[in-house]
Amino acid sequence: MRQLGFASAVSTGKGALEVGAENGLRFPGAHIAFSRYYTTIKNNTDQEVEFDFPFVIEPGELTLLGVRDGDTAHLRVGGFIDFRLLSPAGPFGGTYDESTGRLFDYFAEIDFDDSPNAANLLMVLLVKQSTERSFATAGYNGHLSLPTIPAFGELTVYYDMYAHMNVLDSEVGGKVRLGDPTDLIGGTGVGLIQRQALSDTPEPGTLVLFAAGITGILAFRRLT
Amino acid sequence: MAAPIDFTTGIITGTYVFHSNALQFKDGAEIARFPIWDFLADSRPYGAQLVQTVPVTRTSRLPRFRE
Repeated sequence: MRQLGFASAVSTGKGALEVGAENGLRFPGAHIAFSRYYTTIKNNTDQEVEFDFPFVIEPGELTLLGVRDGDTAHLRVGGFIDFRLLSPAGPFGGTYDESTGRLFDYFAEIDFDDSPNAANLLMVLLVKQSTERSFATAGYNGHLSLPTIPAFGELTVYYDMYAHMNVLDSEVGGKVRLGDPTDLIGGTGVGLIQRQALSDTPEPGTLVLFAAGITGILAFRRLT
Repeated sequence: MAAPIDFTTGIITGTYVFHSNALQFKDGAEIARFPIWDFLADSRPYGAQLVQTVPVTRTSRLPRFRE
C-alpha cells in the first residue's frame, strides 16, 4: 500500500486518536484513515450519575501538492463525538428507552474549489504557491458534559476521527493528518471525570451550624 | 456482584485506499459500517459507493475567509 500512498490510524487505550493519509505518488484516488474510541458506562446504582469528558485534538496538517485547476482535490480532517443513552423504562424494568445525539464535531478542509473551511479547528496558512497549498491546524482541548445517566441506565460515548484525501487529477498529491499517526506514540487521550452530586436539601448538621451562626450574630449585635 | 459503575472501553481503526474499482486496499475495520462513511458521502471518489447512503446533515461552516 505504501507504493500508492498510505493511510494510517492510531488509537491508544486512553483514547488518544491520530489519523493521517498521504498520496505521495500523486495518483487520482482516495485515502481515508479513521479511528474510533468508545466507552460504555453502566450505572448499577439507584442514583443518577454524571460525567465530564475532556478530550484533545492533536495539531494537524493539510497539504496539497501539484497544479490546481479548481476541481482538483478535497482534503479534510475532522471528527465527532456521539452518544447513545439507555434509560430503564416500563413498570417492571427490563426494557430501555434509547436516545442518541451528537455532542461535538469539528473539521478542517481544503475543498475542491481550493477554499479552506473549518469548524471548531483553527487553520493557519503555511504555504500558498501555484504548486503547493498548505495549512496547519492548531491543537484543541475540549471538555464536554455528558448526558446524565439515570439509575440503572447506560451511556455509550463514541469518539470518531478521520483524515480524508480525494484526488481527482493526475500529478496531484498531498498529505492530511491530525497528530502524527506514523510515530505510534499516543497523545494525551481522553478522560472521564465524575461530577459530584449536589444535594438539594441541606443536611441536619448544616442547619444546626447555620442556626447557631445566626444566633451568634444576633447576640453580638445586641451586645454592641 | 457488579461494580456500582461498570466501564467498558474499546478502540477501532481502519484505513481505505481507493485508486479504481479494480485497485482498492482496506485494512482494519470496514469503513462502510461507521458514520464516517456517511459523513464523507459528498466527497467520496466516483464509483466508490459501496453501500446505499442516507442523506446527511452537513455541518454548518464558518464563513470563508480571505487570504
